[in-house]
Amino acid sequence: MKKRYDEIIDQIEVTDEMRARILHNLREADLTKQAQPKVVQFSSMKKYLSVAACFVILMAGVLTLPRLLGREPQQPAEVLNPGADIVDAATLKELSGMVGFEVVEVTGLPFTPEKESYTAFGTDMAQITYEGQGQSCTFRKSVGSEDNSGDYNAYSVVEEISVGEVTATLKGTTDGFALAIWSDGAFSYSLQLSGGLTAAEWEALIAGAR
Amino acid sequence: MGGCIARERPRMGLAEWLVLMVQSIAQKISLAFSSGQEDTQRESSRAVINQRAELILDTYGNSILQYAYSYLHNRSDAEEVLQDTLIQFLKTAPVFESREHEKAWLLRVTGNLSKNRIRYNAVRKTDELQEKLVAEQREDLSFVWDAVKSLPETYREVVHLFYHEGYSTKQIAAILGKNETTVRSNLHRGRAKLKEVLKEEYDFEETV
Repeated sequence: MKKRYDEIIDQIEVTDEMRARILHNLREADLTKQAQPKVVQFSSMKKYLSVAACFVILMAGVLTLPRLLGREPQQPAEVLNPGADIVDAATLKELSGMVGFEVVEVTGLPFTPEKESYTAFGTDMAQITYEGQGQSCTFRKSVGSEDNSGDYNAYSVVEEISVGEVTATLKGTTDGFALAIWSDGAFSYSLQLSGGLTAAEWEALIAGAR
Repeated sequence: MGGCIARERPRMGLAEWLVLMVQSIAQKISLAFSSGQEDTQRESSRAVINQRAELILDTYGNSILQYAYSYLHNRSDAEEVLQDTLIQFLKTAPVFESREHEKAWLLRVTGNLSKNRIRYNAVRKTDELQEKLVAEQREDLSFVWDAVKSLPETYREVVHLFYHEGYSTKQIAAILGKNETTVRSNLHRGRAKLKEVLKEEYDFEETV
């Protein structure tokens, strides 16, 4: 078995093209950012100009702040921050607390979960991962209405279904749909399964994942 | 276990490795003293970096790529992780006691970069290795690969490092930043799952 696993994985190797590509990219890469932080020495004139600029900005803030305070609060940005801190939570309640919105367990999964993990992506997105019986499911909920699945596969079959008041987009193959994406206006949701389900089966699953 | 470690891989000579390490350290020290020869130093430093990147790629490239593939199951993603690992290595320019430490450091970074990638982006469905095995009608290997792929990540990484890289559970614990007890437990559970799926096809060596 060890030999067979070796035989399998040894088929993955660095080809000449890959080697050339990587070395080329490394030569182009800026490797000095962390090792040698750039230190810029300001002249006295620049120092005074900087102080003056700060003063102008401060005054502008003082003058415009009262107007801004009178405005309606802005909608939160919908673009997820890829650099957000990724932190694991011990419980669902803790996860909800970390992201600042309620997250509920997904019900009606096509397998019995043996392990669940909760992850907060900053305050943008919550993720629950279920694993069991050799299958897995990833549920994501985030502020906004953009696709938060992180699934960039090109699926051959795409279909829309209505579940209650929302319209969900199902993606998959002729064997079944593996991904569902939908939004209720305030939040966007995605559910990804390791195996495929029919549109009718997804309907029940989406209804239990709000 | 001893038999597992003896693997033929391309290696740089010890003397060559030591020379490069000394060159690298000397470059860092010399760069600390700014002078009018900064451009020359920068070019020289870059040449050493490029040379070092080539040696690391030739020595550990396959191990890094295979370890990343064991997580990601996609050649493009694994290649990007290999490249990012080298960038991390060249940026931080760590100094190691031995080549074993150097490889362990590279694999640790590879594992972390691969896991970050999985956590933020879904694993792509294109598994070139699976497609190749099917095209070559290697059902025996395809069956084993499917079984290993179906393992949870925590079992799979231990199985790969133990059986393919030939590391001990203690070394794996250091690479993964986990307790050795946890590593042993994951290895045991990974084997049990493989045994359950592969049945009479199972022939992992139960050395630990």
